[in-house]
Amino acid sequence: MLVNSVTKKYSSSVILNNLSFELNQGDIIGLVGRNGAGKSTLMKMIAQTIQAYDGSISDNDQVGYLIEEPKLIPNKTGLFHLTYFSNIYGNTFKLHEYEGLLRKLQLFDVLNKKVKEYSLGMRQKLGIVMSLLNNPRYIVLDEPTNGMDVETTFEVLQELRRLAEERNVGILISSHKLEDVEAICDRVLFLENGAIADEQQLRNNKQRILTLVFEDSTALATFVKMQQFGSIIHSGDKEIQIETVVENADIFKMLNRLDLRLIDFTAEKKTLRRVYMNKFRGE
Amino acid sequence: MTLRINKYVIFNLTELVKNGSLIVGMLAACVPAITMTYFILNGSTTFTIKHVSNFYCMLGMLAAVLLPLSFINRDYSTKTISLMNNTIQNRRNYYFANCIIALSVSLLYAMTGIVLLLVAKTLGVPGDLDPSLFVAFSVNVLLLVMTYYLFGYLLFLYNVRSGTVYGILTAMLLFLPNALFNIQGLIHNDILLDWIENFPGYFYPIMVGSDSFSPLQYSIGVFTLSVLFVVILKKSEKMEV
Repeated sequence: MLVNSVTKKYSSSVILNNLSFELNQGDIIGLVGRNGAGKSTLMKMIAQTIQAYDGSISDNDQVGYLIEEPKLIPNKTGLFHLTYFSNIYGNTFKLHEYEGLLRKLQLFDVLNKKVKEYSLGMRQKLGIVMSLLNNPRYIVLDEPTNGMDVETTFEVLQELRRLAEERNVGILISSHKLEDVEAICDRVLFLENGAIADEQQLRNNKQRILTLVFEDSTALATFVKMQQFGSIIHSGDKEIQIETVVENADIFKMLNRLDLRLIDFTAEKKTLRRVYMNKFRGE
Repeated sequence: MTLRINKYVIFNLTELVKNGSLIVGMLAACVPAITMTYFILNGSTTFTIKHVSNFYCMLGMLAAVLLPLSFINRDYSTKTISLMNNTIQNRRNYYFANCIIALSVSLLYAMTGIVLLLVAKTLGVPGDLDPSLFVAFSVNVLLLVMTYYLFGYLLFLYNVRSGTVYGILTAMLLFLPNALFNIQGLIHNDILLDWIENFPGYFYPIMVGSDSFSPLQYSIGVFTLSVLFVVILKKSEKMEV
């Protein structure tokens, strides 16, 4: 699916501004940004519930989606929703095909209850299962784990990963829960003021943040001159913070060769939370 | 993923039967007509078969409009419309499917009305019942139901709340025609009288069960229906949900 230079305006305010990215089948992309950054609008455009915009989105005719909140009929049962939304799209809902998933999500035993009796988490789970109906090639999920407990969140995320890997479904997921995004996404897009402010690979991400504190500023200057390990995030009088994929052992080898002494050294994985804080809060 | 018109229509028509609303609507239409038949047969009134027909249409037309509209109400009030208003094709299919449901309900009410009139006539209710009345009755019912249905549909597209939509339709079908009828008696301006006479909001509910409309009234009716149909189609294709 190719989102190509899409721009969406409402009167004078620009919601999305010349935004482009590609979502391949089998990939999971996370969408992260503040409220009002344009995440839901982008998702609605992909799902085609918004039609009027500039630019183009290709290959988005088979998209399952759950945007904002699950859309359910209160006085109908969970089973009705699954049957109905399969049937009107020309498919037959086969309960046995979904039994495993429904049991994992603790929905199987409440399928015959009216959804007005469901909790927020249960409605959310039903909304997710509904988005999987009719064999979509892509799924768009807006805050999918909203209202769910830790255990169910894990099950949902695991199921989404399985869908991407086994059924080659491309998934776009937005969430304020950065741990969820980090747990399953291959890539994350940072949305700010309707544009992609940055993009981060998450799968096989070996990037780490190293903080090195030298004995004196001369040692730091020598290190800065020599270092070819990654990009500098912050540099002080004796202290430097770098982003790198190089192993610690290789860094120590070089420090020994140059006879540069360290007072302190810390290494931490470059988490999504950290990237987010850097980007949006300047921390 | 394409919304299948036939599947949508069959599923939802079955729903109307299963949840009992079709039966309730039919009872609402038939009970006044049967009551009228009873009084005529007992000789307590001098009414004819056309009165039976009018009594059938009184609540019958309201039920025939509101029943298919219940799906639009359901989908817009619960926002499940966003699960079907996605591709342009699906938006059109949803609209066409709902129109087919309304058409089916209107035909059902027309047929039930004809059967009821035949039974009343067989039982001895006075008045002429020729085939032309059946044709006029069927066409009138179909035009009325579709026009009011599309008008209600349009109100939902403009986010008018369901209670207000139902209130407006009830007023338009039950009270407005009588109000206009009374106004007619008070005014002497021919142009204004012609306007009222050819206003669909007047001639549809007043004449639906009793006579065929004039050619001008049919033309106005078909034109109104066509305009509503196209406006809703265009609005459906563009609306954001």
